[in-house]
Amino acid sequence: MGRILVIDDSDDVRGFMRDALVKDGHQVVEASLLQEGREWLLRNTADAVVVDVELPDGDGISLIPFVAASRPVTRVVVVTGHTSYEYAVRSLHAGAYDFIPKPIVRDDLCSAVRRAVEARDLEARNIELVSELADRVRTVNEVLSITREIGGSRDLAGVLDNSLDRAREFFGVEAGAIFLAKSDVLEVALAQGGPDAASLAKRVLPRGRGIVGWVMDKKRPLIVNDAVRDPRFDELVDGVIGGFVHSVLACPLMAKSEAIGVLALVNRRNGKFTRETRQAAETLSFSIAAAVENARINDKLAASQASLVEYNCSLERRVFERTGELRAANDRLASANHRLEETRDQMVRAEKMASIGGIAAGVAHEINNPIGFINSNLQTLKGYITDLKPIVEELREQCPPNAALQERIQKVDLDFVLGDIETLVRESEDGVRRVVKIVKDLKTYSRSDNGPPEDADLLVCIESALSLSRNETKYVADIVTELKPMPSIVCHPVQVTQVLVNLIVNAAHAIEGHGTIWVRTRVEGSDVVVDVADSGTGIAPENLAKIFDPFFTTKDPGKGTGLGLSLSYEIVERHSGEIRVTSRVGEGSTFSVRLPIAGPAVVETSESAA
Amino acid sequence: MRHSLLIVDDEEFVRNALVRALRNEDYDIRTADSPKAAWVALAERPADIVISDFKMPRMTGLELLQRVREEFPDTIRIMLTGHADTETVIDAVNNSEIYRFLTKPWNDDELKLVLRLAAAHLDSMRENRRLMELVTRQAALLEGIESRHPGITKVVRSQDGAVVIDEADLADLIPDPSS
Repeated sequence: MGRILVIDDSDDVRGFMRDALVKDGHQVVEASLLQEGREWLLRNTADAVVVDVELPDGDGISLIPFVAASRPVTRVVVVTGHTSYEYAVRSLHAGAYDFIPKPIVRDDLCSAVRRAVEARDLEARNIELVSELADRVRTVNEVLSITREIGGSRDLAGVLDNSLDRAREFFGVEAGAIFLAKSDVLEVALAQGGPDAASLAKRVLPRGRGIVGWVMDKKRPLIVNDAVRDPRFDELVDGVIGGFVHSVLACPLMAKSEAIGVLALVNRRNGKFTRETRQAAETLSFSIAAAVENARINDKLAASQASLVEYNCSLERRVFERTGELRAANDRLASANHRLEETRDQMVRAEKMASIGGIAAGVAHEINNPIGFINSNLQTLKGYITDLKPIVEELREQCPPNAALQERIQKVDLDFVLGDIETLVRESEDGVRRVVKIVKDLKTYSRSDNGPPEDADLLVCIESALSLSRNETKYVADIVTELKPMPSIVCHPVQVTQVLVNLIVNAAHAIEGHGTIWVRTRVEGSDVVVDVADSGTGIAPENLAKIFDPFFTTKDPGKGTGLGLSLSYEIVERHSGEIRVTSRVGEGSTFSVRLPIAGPAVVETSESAA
Repeated sequence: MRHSLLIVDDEEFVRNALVRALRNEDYDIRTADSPKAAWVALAERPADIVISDFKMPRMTGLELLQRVREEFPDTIRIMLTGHADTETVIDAVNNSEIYRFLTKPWNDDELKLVLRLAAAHLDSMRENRRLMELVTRQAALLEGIESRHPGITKVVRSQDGAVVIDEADLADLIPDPSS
């Protein structure tokens, strides 16, 4: 049971005690003198000392402080022949564990020694426990501090790196790794200390294999010494923990009763893992698992936050895009509206034109009849006057009038009448011409007198228009033509010529003094464009919108009917073309006529043919 | 020879103006205020030239001119109208074979010119017909001669183009001065 030092100067007594104690299972060392015992104790330990009070070299009680000082756990049992109370008190005061009177009763001795040994064991165990407790406290503190650090960190990689580092340092192990489960595989989250440790990170391993796999599956920590020889050992998986594996400590990382991974530490040489290490590692594992979970939640949070931010951004972008789309749609609507308004204006204008045309066609006959005979009569009247005038003159010469006739001649102012009558006829003729022109122009609005469009050379139309308008232009403007060769276009050449004449005459009328008229042509896509520009007075902005209205004119009475541009507009419109004007007051105007090479749209021709 | 002219218009002033304008031209001018009156006048005495308005009550000038064409094919037909749309013109030319289409207001000089041309056309047409008749008559005569004297109408030419006269037939070739 224990190692007992027996000090007694009597060989018999010593022999008796030795026999009894050996018999009771103790190992017995004998000493006959106090000094002898002291010396032995300096070099050896005993679980208990049995000492006689009266020894030749001193008082056995004096050994008690010595033992207490040098071997605190060793119990001293005092044996004495003095049965006096005083001795008993003295020895107990001195720290003796027990007191056995002489003659020694065997059972008393054995029981006293046994208790002493037990006490000593208890003591030793206590001390051990205290030290272990201190160790534990240190471990717990360390683990706690690691845990705190782990818990304080938000970055999982940092957490793992730090915790493994600390764990290795704390446990004094050389290498280690943390494995994390990822769906149906095991990923090396981190490896430290082993060869190529850095390159092992993120390595994907099969699940369920090796010591690590076992720990994962069983959700139990495991220490395996001489791991390489263990049947569970798997080089591929467990090799990751660190080089030449000697002993392995592996702990599952538990989160909500699920093993989410494994913390594995390795001693590559001789070190063996203790239960304490295991417990600390277990505690640490919980922390790591919690941290991993936290980090994962954080990651998820961050991810969802990022996706929220992303969603937010994309929402903003979409709002922006939608705003843009809305704006574009709005613009389209506005432009559609604008086109609608334009179309409506055109329709109103067309309607106006058509009704004017209809009226014109209806009344043309009625107007043309009287105009016909007025015009004819004026010619005849002119002839009459031409005939009469010399006769009157001659009559006055040959038959001088009497006084009464002379008086009448003076009264009617015959000389004036004869002179004025021609002017009168001339002016009347001019008036008739104007009426004729208006009626003719108005009739152009009526769509009934169009033939089918034909192929025509626009340049020929331009030449015709220039020569037709020469009377109007020759004294007021230089004509500059920039005519490019172009394909023939499908049109009503007479009408197109009429448009060009109108524009050229207008240009001439816009010029005060002397100026320039430019006539330019160009091909734009499937259209031809003729520009008629002048260096004239320009069009006042408030008039720009009205210039194509029938009967709108700024010319002096008699100089324009107010139908030219409106007619031109109508004609170009009927050709599915476009007429535009740009003008600056004081600088001049440019009229652009755009005609499709292919001619009027089909609808238009069928309409006009009907 | 004076050409006769019939002016048809429902409006008196137009008729008057036309008569005035043509006063110094050498025409035998009659007027009618309706197609019906025109028809009566033509029945009484045909005209060389008819000038008709288009738009008149009850019957258009076109219908009138069409009937004139059927009844008096030689008569020159001229349309004078203030209502000149394409359809009317096409109809007039295609269905009534009118000589000219004039529009109101007309130009006196143009009118005179057209009438002179029409008269000349008529004259040459008549001359043409007269000549045609002459030719036909002469052809018939030649035929008669040939039947009486076979081969007499044939002219034989020598290689150098000279007319070869057969002495024997010479007597037959001398025509009877009375024919």
